[in-house]
Amino acid sequence: MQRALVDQAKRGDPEAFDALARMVGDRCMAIAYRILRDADLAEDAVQNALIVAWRQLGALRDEDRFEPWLHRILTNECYAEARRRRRISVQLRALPTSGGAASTGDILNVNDRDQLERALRRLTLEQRAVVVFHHYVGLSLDEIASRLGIPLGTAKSRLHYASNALRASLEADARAPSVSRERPA
Amino acid sequence: MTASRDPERLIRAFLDEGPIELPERAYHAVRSTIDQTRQRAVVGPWRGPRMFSRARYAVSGIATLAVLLVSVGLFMRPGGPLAPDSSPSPTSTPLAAPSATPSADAATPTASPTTSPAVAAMQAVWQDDDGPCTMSDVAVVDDGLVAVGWCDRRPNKPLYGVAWYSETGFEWRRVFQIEWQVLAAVSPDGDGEGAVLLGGFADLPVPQNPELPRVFRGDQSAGFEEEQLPNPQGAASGLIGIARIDQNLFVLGATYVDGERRPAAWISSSPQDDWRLIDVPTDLALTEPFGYSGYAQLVTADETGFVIAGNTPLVPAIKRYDLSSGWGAPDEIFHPGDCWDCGGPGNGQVTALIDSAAVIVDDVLWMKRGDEWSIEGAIGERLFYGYAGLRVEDGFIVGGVTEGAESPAVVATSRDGWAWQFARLHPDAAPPGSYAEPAVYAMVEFGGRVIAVGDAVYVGPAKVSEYSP
Repeated sequence: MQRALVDQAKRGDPEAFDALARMVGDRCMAIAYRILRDADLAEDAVQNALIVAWRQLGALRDEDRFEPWLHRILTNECYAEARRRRRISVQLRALPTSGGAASTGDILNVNDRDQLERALRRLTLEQRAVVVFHHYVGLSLDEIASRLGIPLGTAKSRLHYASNALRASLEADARAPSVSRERPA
Repeated sequence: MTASRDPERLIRAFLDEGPIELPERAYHAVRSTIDQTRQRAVVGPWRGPRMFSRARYAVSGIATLAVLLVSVGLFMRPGGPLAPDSSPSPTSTPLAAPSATPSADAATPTASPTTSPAVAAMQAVWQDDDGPCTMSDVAVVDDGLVAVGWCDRRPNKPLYGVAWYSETGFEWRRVFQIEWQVLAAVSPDGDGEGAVLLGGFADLPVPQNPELPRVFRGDQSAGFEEEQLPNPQGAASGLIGIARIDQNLFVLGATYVDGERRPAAWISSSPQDDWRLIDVPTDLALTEPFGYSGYAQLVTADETGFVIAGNTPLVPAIKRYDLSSGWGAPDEIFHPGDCWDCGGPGNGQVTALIDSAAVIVDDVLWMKRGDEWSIEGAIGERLFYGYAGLRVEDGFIVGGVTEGAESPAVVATSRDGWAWQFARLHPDAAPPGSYAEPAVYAMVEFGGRVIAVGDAVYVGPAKVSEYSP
């Protein structure tokens, strides 16, 4: 189905591309948001990525690889969007929303969320992208390297650093109350 | 640690939170844009059937080149295409009216009040009768010009012609068997005599084939001989560009290791020396093969080394290889006060590396002054992509393709107030199914004039001021 749409879209059929965009748009939005930590930026990045994909679709050699190909464009657009907005960005906390958002129940407490949000924001965009493609999309390091166009070693080191940072943030969170309790009054 | 406090699980749970739907307005915006945006037609080897088996390569043998050799004597001789009163021979087909007539619809003024109407100061002096043939690179050798490219006039048939300039005009003759359209690039040889040609797949993640990275060295009279380049890790490679400084030749290429595209480079210190592979640090990724960028001018030489273009993870950048000290750090083409969105994936890609202080990123000319890059001007109103650029005495001349891959064009840009002139060179679109894109792919200064090649050979002034009406 997707392959057929890609094929039609490559031949310049906007209807087919529209249908294709609707097949992959939500997933792109989810990925972009998790890299950028900002819904508006993510929406813009996805929009731009889809437009770039439309323009460049003829360069896609293997129709079956549309989504990985699009994800690389999307990741680049996330980087671009972040840099574009850096000058005017205001550090707003993105809180989980109810409509159109996923929720994970009670696994995470408020402190976990806070610490992970802070830790993620401290990561570089490149590290975040690797984290998202690994932990959220579920890709192997090989697949991430291929999808992002980076050496395997780079993917490994980014994931290693990012995972350590995220774990450390959770551990710090876990330690914090006991430290507080031990502090003399 | 309990399962619920497992950091991996918590990280995954955290990432699972957040928006998972793209708002409807975004789909509408995309649809609205694509309805008004033409797709880029793709030119290049990847456009053909996807049959890249070892057997195919074994049968097809080498990736081959179409070579156009133009001797300066013939080129400039009385009666030749460049002579003032040249009269076309049967196979020399100067394009008169379309290329020489200013195009009214191209006359929209741009940023500068001194901008003038479209001026076709650049004229086509040769185009293949049977077209479409495409020339992807041109270089000056000691006794003339050499251009390389391919023909697809006989679909699914080998290229029979390699174009040499002769008494009767340009004539395609076969130098190498061809079974696949290839990106080709050319440089004068280290001794200035003859030429070194690249023929390789610009960017195909081809199956491993240690025979692929190769160059062809020779000249018009002796013919060309193949030279094998050392192949890193036995991976298939495509060659992207070649540059020369003194006796040193530098080839930029791509290798594919486990499906990953990495830069590679080779150097030959003199025509007698073997090629050697030099490591390319991974802090600069090669320009992505989107659209036509396979033709991008991505390598050049300066006084003491070579410069290549690519992308850091965030922005386009150049990187310099000094012959004595090796690689320098990537030089990111970026300025916080300027355009952040210059088209293309990410922050754009270098489509023409003019020199170490001037590059075109898609359709924007960047210049470096001191340590700072800044945007010199956007040429996007005229060129959809600028594929080739040349720094001339009073500015830049940039060649490329107009919006929608409609026609080749050049802009001549003055440094004085960013006045520019625009010349639409050829009104004809490529025939359906053709590999040829009507564009300018390469330019060189020769004999006080600018030679531009693409779907034809064009000749124009080497001064921006002479593009004025």
